[in-house]
Amino acid sequence: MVQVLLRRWIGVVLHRLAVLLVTAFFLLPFFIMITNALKPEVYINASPPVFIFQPTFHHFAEVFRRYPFVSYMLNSAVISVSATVLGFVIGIPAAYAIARYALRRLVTLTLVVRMIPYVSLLIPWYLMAQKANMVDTYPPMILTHLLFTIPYAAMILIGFFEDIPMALEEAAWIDGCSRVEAFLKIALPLTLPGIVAAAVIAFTYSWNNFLFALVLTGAKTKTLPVAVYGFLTADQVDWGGLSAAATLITAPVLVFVFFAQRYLIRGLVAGAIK
Amino acid sequence: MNQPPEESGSGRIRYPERAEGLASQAARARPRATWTALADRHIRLLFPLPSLLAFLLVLGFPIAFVLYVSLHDWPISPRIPSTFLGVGNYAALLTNPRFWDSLWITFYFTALAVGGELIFGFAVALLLRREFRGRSLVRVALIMPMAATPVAMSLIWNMMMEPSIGMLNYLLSFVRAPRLLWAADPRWAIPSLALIDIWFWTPFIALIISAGLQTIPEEIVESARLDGATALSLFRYITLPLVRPHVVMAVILRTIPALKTFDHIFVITGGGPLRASETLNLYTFLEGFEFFHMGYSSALALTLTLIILVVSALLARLRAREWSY
Repeated sequence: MVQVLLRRWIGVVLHRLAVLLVTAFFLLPFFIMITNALKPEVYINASPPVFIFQPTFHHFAEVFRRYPFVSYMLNSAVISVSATVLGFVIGIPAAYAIARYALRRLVTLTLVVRMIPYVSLLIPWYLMAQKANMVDTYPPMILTHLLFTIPYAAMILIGFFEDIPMALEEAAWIDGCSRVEAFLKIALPLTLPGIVAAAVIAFTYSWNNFLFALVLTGAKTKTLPVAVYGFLTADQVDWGGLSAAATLITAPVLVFVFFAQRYLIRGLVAGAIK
Repeated sequence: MNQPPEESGSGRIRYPERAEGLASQAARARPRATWTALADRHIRLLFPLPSLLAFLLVLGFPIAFVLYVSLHDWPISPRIPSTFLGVGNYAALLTNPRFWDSLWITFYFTALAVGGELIFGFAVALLLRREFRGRSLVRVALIMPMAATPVAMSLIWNMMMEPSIGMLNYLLSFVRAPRLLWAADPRWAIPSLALIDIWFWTPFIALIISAGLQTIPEEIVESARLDGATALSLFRYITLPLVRPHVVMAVILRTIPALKTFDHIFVITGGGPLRASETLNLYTFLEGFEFFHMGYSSALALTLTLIILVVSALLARLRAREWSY
């Protein structure tokens, strides 16, 4: 009896230890990022690393002082919000139609859109923007980001629309609603949690996107990922500043994810399995 | 007139065939504005239409354009005219050893990254199957790498891989392992980048397999235990076969993005050292936007697209077999 209990106890301890190690592995880069961002300059290059220090906001202040960081943030926000809103206005009706009429070929098309490597669209988009005199403006960036905001809206929301019983909309038709009205007044409000989750995912992708911004933005419209990549090439050794900038970029996304996590896991997995 | 309104209200719900009748009556009785009626009749076409037009604009036309560019020697300046080459760019890339190297590197990276993510992700999913305090917090920690900005996290990994004062070599020193140059060593560049990819995307696979594990009925596991199955045979004969469809799905969903990985490779090595990490995606980008060979880069881009579509089609057949029952 004692032996059985002991073995179970050892099993539990080993399990918790493994969980701890795995969690530490996934959190380690975040830990390094935040500690480096708060470390005084003298400790950053210390070897072995120093973990006990008086935190300072010097690096954050420097990032804002030396670079137009606020305007990078605004650029990123304008592009991501516009691409998400536009993508969802376009994509939500498609998701509804797929859920209600089982449009298999549209599902396949959406999957193909997600497969195309963006590198193959860089040259035509760059040449088109050049021709239209629109390099370093918002519209090409917002339009290219529709490549993922529309598919995210569509793929994740199909499942949410399928979960709404048809009877609810039928009842609305009986009460004199047109089908479009029934969609707007019944189906749409009921999928709101799904829409929020999908929007968080789409916004995150747009906020994080690097490749299109690398080619299509310039001094006026530079987004955060391109700006922070520029810090690397400009001053390779300023780890404190880089970490502070990385923290500032990642923070909004992580806050979003924390609040939306309940829907997020469902959204990600649902979007994946379908 | 004497009928109380609730009764007719509940009658609609109770008798669907009567509800149908009422619906058509209502439609006939109330003439709508013609455009709403038209919209209602064609909703099946109308609702997907904006998406189709958007795909045509952001994807269809650019792909046709890149095909056109790939048949030319196309200078980046709009003032210099382009010259038609036919399939010249394609012939050039097929005879260029750099193309074949980059193709091999792409597949090497994908195999290491997806293989590692699958094994590690399965282990994480099994760990999370057991109840314990703080499990939901561990789940949040798992989502963080997927959501965090890849460029920002690549910069942090770049610091961690710094040979003399980076965190990874510091950790290695505890197990008395020799210091590594990580991504700066041509032999270790791809394994290092695959490690970073594993950090980013293992949680994705773990969450999908987790969802699969939840579908395994408790009774099957219980009865196998009563029959005296060991943990290993339980895994081999019950868990593994039952989550196989989810495993296949996870592999498919990671393989295609892995083939076109860009952000952390570009930030950390830029394709180097000595082109050791120059995947096809990187090579295409560098030809187009470092050397400004727009025509040749377009041909590379379409070749990469073709490879990805072929791999997707092969994987889709695998998936169809798994999900058929």
